[in-house]
Amino acid sequence: MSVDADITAFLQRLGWHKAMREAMAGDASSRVYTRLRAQDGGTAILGQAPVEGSPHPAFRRIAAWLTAQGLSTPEVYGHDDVAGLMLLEDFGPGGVDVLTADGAREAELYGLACDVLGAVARAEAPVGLLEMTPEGMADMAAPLFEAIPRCARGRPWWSCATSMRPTWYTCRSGRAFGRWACWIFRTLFWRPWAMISPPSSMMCGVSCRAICAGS
Amino acid sequence: MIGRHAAELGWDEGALARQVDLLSLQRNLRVLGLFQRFGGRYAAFVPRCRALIEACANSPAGAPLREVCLKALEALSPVERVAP
Repeated sequence: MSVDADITAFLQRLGWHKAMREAMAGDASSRVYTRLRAQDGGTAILGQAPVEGSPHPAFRRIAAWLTAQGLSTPEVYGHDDVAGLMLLEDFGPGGVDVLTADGAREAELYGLACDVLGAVARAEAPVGLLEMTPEGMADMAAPLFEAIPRCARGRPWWSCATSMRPTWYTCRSGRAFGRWACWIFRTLFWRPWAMISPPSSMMCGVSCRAICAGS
Repeated sequence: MIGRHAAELGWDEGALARQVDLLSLQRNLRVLGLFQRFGGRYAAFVPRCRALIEACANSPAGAPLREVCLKALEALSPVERVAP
C-alpha cells in the first residue's frame, strides 16, 4: 500500500479523512507533520515517521509518563505503527516563541517551563529509557563534524574519506580533525557526568533521557 | 530561571548553571550540525545557534571545549538559504 493510501485509510478509520491538510514546519528530523482542519473547525495533528525505527511508541510512552506526573501532553487519537502514523491533539499555533514575541509574558511562560523541569526532576525516571552516556553525548554532536567540509590539514573532507563519514567513524579511521575533536568530546563529556553530585546528576539524567526518548 | 530552578530543588545555583552551560553546548552543537545538513529555512536559525555555542564555549564550564568549538565554527561553510 502506498503512503498516501496508508494515510487515507488511517484517517478514514479515525473519521478525519475529509479534513483539509496543511503542511507544518519540520522539526529538523525525518518526521513530517500536517495540521488537519475538519469542517466543524476542529483540528488535529497528523505525524508521519519512517516505519523503520519509528519514535511514535517511545513518544506515547513518554507522554503517558508525563501525564502521570500531572503534566499536559497531546492526547493520542490513534496510531498505526506499521505505517508510521499517529494522530494527535492540536495544542494550537501558539508556541512559546509566538507567545513571548512581545516580551510581556516571557518571564511567566519560561517560569512555567521551569516548573515543568522541576516536576520532571523530582519524579522517578521511567524505566526503559536510553541512558545518556558520555560516549552517547559525544556521538550526538557528530552532525556538526559531518558538516565540516575540510579537515584540519586543509584537505577536502571528501578526499579524506569517500564521503562525509560520521564523526565516530572518522575517529576510528584516524582522520585529523574529526579524530581530535571526537577524542576531546569523549574525554570532556566523561568528566562532568562522572563528577556531578547526586541531585544534579538526577536532574541531568532525567532531562537528557527524556529529551533523547522524545526526539 | 536557573536560580529559580535551583532554589525550587534545593540545588547549588552555580553548579547547576555550569551543567546547563555544558548541556546547552552539547545540544546546540548537535542542532547546528543538523541545520547545516538541512539548510533551507533552517539557515535563519544558524546565527542564533552559533551565538549560543560561542557563549557556552566562553563560559567557565565550556573552557575545555572552547578551542575545538571555535575551530569547528570557523571551519563550517555558510548555510545556503532557499525560498520557503
